[in-house]
Amino acid sequence: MKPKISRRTALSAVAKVAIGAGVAVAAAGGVAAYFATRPPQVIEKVVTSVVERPVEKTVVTTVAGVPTTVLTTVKETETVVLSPTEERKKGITVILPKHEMDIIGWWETKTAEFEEKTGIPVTLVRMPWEYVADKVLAAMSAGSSEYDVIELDNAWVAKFAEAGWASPLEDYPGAKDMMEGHLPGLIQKFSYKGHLAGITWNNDSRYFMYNKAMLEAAGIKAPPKSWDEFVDYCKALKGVSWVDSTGQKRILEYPVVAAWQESQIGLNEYAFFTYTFGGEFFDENMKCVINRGGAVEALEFMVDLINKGYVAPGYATNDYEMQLSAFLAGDAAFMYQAWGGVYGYSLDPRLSKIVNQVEFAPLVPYKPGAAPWSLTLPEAMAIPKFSKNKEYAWEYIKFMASKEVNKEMCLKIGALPIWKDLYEDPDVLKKYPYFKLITEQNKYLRGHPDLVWYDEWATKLASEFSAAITQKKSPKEALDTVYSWVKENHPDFA
Amino acid sequence: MNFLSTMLNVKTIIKYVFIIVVIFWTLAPFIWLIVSSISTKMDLTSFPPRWIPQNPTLENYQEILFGGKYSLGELFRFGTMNSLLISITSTFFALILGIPTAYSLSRFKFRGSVMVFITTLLTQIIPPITIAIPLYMIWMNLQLLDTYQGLISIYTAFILPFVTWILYGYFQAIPKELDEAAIIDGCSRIGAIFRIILPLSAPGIAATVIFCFIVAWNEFFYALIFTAVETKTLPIVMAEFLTKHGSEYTKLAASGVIASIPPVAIALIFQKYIISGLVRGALKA
Amino acid sequence: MMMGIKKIYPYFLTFPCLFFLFSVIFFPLAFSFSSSFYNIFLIRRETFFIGFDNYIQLFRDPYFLYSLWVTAYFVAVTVSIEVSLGLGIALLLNEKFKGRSIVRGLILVPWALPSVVNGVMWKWIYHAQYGAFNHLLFQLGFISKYIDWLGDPFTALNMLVLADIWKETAFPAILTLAGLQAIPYGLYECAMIDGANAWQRFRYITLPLLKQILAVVIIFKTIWSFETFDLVYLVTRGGPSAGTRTLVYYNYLITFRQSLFGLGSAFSWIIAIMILFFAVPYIRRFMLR
Repeated sequence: MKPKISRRTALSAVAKVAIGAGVAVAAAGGVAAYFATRPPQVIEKVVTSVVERPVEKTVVTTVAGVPTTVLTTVKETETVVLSPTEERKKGITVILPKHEMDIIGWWETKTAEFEEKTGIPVTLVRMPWEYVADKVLAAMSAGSSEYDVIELDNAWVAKFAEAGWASPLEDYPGAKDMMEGHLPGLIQKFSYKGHLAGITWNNDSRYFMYNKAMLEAAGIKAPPKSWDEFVDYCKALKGVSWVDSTGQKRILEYPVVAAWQESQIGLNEYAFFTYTFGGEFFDENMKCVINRGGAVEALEFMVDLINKGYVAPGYATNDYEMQLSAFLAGDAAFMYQAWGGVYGYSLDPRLSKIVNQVEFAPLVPYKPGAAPWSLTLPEAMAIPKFSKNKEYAWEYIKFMASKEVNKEMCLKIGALPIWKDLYEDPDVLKKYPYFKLITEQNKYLRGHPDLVWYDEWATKLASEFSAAITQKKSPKEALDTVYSWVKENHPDFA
Repeated sequence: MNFLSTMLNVKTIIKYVFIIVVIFWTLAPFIWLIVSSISTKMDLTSFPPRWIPQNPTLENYQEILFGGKYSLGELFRFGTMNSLLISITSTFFALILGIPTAYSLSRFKFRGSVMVFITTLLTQIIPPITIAIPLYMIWMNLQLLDTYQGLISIYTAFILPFVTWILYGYFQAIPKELDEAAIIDGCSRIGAIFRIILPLSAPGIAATVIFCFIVAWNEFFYALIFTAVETKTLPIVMAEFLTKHGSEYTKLAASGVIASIPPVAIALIFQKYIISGLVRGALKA
Repeated sequence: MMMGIKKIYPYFLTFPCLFFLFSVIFFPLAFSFSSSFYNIFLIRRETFFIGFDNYIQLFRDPYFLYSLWVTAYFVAVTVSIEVSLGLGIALLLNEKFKGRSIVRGLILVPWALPSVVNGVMWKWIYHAQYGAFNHLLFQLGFISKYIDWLGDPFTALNMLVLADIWKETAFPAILTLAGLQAIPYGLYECAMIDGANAWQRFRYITLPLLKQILAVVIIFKTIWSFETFDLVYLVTRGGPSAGTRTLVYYNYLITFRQSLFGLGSAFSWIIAIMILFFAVPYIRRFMLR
């Protein structure tokens, strides 16, 4: 009885598998035959442009007896054959985060307009800004030609440009106009070794904003011009009684709300203080000077503010969101590196208790002898060298960063303009009169140092910075540690 | 008699006190999340602090559930559909591959059983970050990026070891003699699995299903790397609330509340099987 | 014939599973293992073979050693508390009471919450000025002044532990509950007739029969605890002063932020070996049934 059942089930199982395999093989064979016998497709191609660009060649050499592969750059002329209809239809893929002020899907509608106008389909991939780096990095490391336009954050310029993940743009038609028309700080930020690596799409420049009502309540008529004045004002502001925009009587406990988190955010803040104290992270020869001069003074100043009780608690972990929330709630007098959107938020009674009480200061406070530098942390569009549709990618970039589209972006969603002229454009000024106030500051915008190893630097600096802020180490100690680390690991920069 | 009933009463009271503590501990932050989702940022930062917002608003939910084209709502619904499809399929495949494996590990001693253990364990131990980039390269060459198959295969591979181990544990608890007896009575192996093992380990399987689903539903890192447009899952959509300048916390809270509903619903449905009285008394000598 | 089939059967059953795992996981794994011996400049696509230098470099890095301690503390505390708490909750939920089924479902709510939301939520709960945690403790009179919970490295770490306990305890709880359910009531009845009290019943019946389940729970909980990432990323970014920078988070910084892929691979393998270290004793006990 038993053996019969087993044998039968076994045989039927084997038969099933065999039939299945046979079917699979037959299907595979059929598909292969189909593709093999199709006539090759001929596409009419028309030459429309010839472009010269540097091309990478892989060379195998021996270094100290170990065979290694090294990439060298060789200039070659490449004739790019474009066909107006067939090639365009393949379209491009764009990967960018959303502009934080774009809550109406404006960028998407503009992209649809571009598609209609040029006949180039665009696949728009949206990424949360936090994770853009991870995603782009994975794709770029794999040499993927998946993306034609990628996000280029201001901290990655050196790295991406070196790797070819942001190929040079200055030779494309219309680039020179942009280079002249955009804010100089933005162009400079996205240039590397004489090449233009990206075109800005998000002008995230920072400005000094303050709460007028609080200052007036403390008898202060104008925003602080120097850091000494700043400290004096803090003293006067601590404990002052004032009235917020809902009519409620308040007492200001902490004039300053800080975002000195152990991350890029904290470093942004620290960089700002350093520059305005006349300090630098790296001097003009790219040697690390963080443990002397303004950089040390700045950190000591920040710790001092904490010890004097002028900084709201939570300073060691606050990010921008928390800082903004505190400012809008009326729990701080100064937002010394506020982004453009903050002003708009402050006018919305659903979001802020300081409606009509916020002002731009024409310039940030600075130490006499230094310059009133404010940070700009813009984001740009770049074209990776792996892309197979560079010309179309450029058309997209040109369109989205053109003066007309930029003006619309400013008017429709309140984004800060990228073109110099727009700050004096009558339509723009009508809607945002306060732009007049920031033209001075726009001359003093700068970003972080351009290092290929920027992320390593940032991680290290952030921990030491945090140690100083939480007073586990003195500022000088913390910065000396950073310097010794640089000396040990990147001796060229010490 | 009286003494006994007082003892029972005290025990019951203590029992209920503990239960209430557990419920409070479990739900308190979640309730605060719900409160946040109907608040505005202003409410959250107002002083003196309130537990119930002054102006509760449903606008966050409105936008997420009913938004129009290009809005969050559309994205959210899209992400939910994708997540459902991917989570259910991955769980299903993990079970199909894992149940036979767990069964053979618990019933047979064969050469290579150790290898199976080690293999499955190694897969779990390696931090996901490690293989992210090489896997990306391979998937890129196989054109599996941003496809359902691509992500489902990855999720199944990550859930599989867990399924195997957990079910191995439950299967071990069922005496070999039971299915041996069934086979002697004329049942096939597969039949034995279906008729004896699965019903008896139903609580274990139910628990496994719940966990696999939730793990796949909430997985973030790999979804980030391997999806783009077509197959965006819900956690990715929610992460879009994380902008450069902050996290739109109130909107995120609303989306979080909504996103928790499917997993919790599944849990509520399946936990009936965990009660399953089939097990109780089944092994009475 | 039957003997032959019997021998093949186990291989037949496990083959699909293994095949699948090998194809999806192992090739990338091998690649990452070999990468750990190279210095890889993803940017310039250059690779230099450097043997064990990556591993050595890590052990000389003070931040690596510090993150070892952070991770060890985090894993030890979370796993021990979550497993014991889970066991307690499972015992509780095993009892009969009104609304039991609903409570069993509710236990899973923290676990069901997406990690993105969970992270940001705790960031707000722990905030020095606006956090619900401060509000609650202050109103109940436990603290006289608001505290910056995330402002000190060690306190922040403990706060993360607390958040993790809240989120993850459901896992051991439900699995243990399922295991408890599999224990036939009859055994307890016999024991009670023989005069055993609650503690003795627990010790001699419940615990031994739960051994398998508990072992699996502990192994997986340990592994997953080691790999906690989202919580650190969203709440503290590894700070302050690297106080919550776990091994996995540091690995992420190295691999993804600094693009040091070779170093990152080496790092991952060190983590893997460490986890194996913890898991092996349990596996041994488990397999020597």
